[in-house]
Amino acid sequence: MLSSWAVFIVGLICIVLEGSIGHMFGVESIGFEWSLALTAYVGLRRDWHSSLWILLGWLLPMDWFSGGPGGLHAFGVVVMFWSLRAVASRFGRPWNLGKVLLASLGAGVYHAATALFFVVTAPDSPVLDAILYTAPGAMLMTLLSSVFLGWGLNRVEQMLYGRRGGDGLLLS
Amino acid sequence: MKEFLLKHQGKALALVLCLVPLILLATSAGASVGKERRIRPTRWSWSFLSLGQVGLTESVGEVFSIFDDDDTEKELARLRAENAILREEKARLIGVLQENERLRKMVGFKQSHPEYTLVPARVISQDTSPFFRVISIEIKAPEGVKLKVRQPVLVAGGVVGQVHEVLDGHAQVLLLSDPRSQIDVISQRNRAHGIVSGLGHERDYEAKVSYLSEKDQVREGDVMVTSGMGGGFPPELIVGEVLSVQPDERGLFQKVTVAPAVDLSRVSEVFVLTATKERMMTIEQEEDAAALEEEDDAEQQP
Repeated sequence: MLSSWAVFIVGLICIVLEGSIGHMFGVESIGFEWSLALTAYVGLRRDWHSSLWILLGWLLPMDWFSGGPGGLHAFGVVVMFWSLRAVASRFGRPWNLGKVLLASLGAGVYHAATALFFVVTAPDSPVLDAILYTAPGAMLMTLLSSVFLGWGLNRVEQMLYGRRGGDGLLLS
Repeated sequence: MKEFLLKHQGKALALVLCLVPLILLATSAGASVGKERRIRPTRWSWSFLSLGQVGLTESVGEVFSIFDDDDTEKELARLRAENAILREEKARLIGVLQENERLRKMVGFKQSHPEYTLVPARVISQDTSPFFRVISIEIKAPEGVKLKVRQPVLVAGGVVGQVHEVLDGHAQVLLLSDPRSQIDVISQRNRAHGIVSGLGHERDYEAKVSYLSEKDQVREGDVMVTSGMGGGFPPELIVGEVLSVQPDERGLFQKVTVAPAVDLSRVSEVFVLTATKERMMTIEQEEDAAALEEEDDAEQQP
């Protein structure tokens, strides 16, 4: 398995560069949802301790680059992480199609959590409409991003450590 | 103690993971513009991250150009390589020309509005949230000019948004298509008054105009400009054009959608409007009055 530091650094680069790369290529109205895909990856693929360390390290940068009210993105991400952790053991270790779909559903949980936050704190806020409107697109983008992310990290893992018995790398 | 910590490391981490968002939420005062209060360590770490982002943004272009060169060397023959270099040169020149044109427009805009104190800034990134619409700008305010939240952000074509948060050398700008943004506007044709706020759509930058009743007779194609009320934006800055008008059967007001006048997906350089001449005069008058009061106080004291 890739070291926690390697995953942390790759994730941090993805988080920091998402906005910049999108802006460089004029891709402004499509979010890659790297932060949600990364959360799904650590929630579904990493062991308990390393997933907690990595996500904790990512939480502040994720929240900052999301551009929303402080803590809102982190809140949604943590809820998404716990919901995915709850079912992670049922899907085995490999990064497969089931986990990709689960990552997409996780993005739905993220939107539901942030929407719930607004229902409780500011029910009249137009942000609530925006969250519900963007949820399907974000779920789709999380699905695509998590395919690339899982494939990429599996390739790196394969290159560094080779294929191990029991690691059926279905997407690699 | 060490053993205890190692034994309960997982639980402690899980607890911290749950607490971090709650602390961040508790220290930010909500979703309204300029009301967020971040704790000092968070601001420091975010300033640091912004600096890292600027460095990475600049270097990532160079990294991509290295890959391009490698591919060219491997795949193309000498003449084709030369051709590729020339095409690259042409693309770069087109980029320079486009930048030149944009900057010329900006200079023209600045010269045609001597009443505004405009500070130029470069857009360095966009937000990564699916439903908020925020961009980060790199900005160096000249001496004596203060950047503040709610200051208008403009380009030659119209309003882009308003300053949301100010950091050292950087600022976050809330685009007018963010659902948290609210700008007081009037229709240029008949002076009907409303509030523009973003719809927060991921695939477009549309906004809506609230508080326009059927009596206001707003039509498709009407140009909405800032009203100048509320103190934030000066009057007559173009915000957008009415895209659709739908009567609300249950409510008092119409559903009016607006397309921003500026293509918010392609903004590269912007101006932050830090003060207008009128506002500067008011500030100077206030300062003069305060100085006079201080002098009077000093004279009255024995």
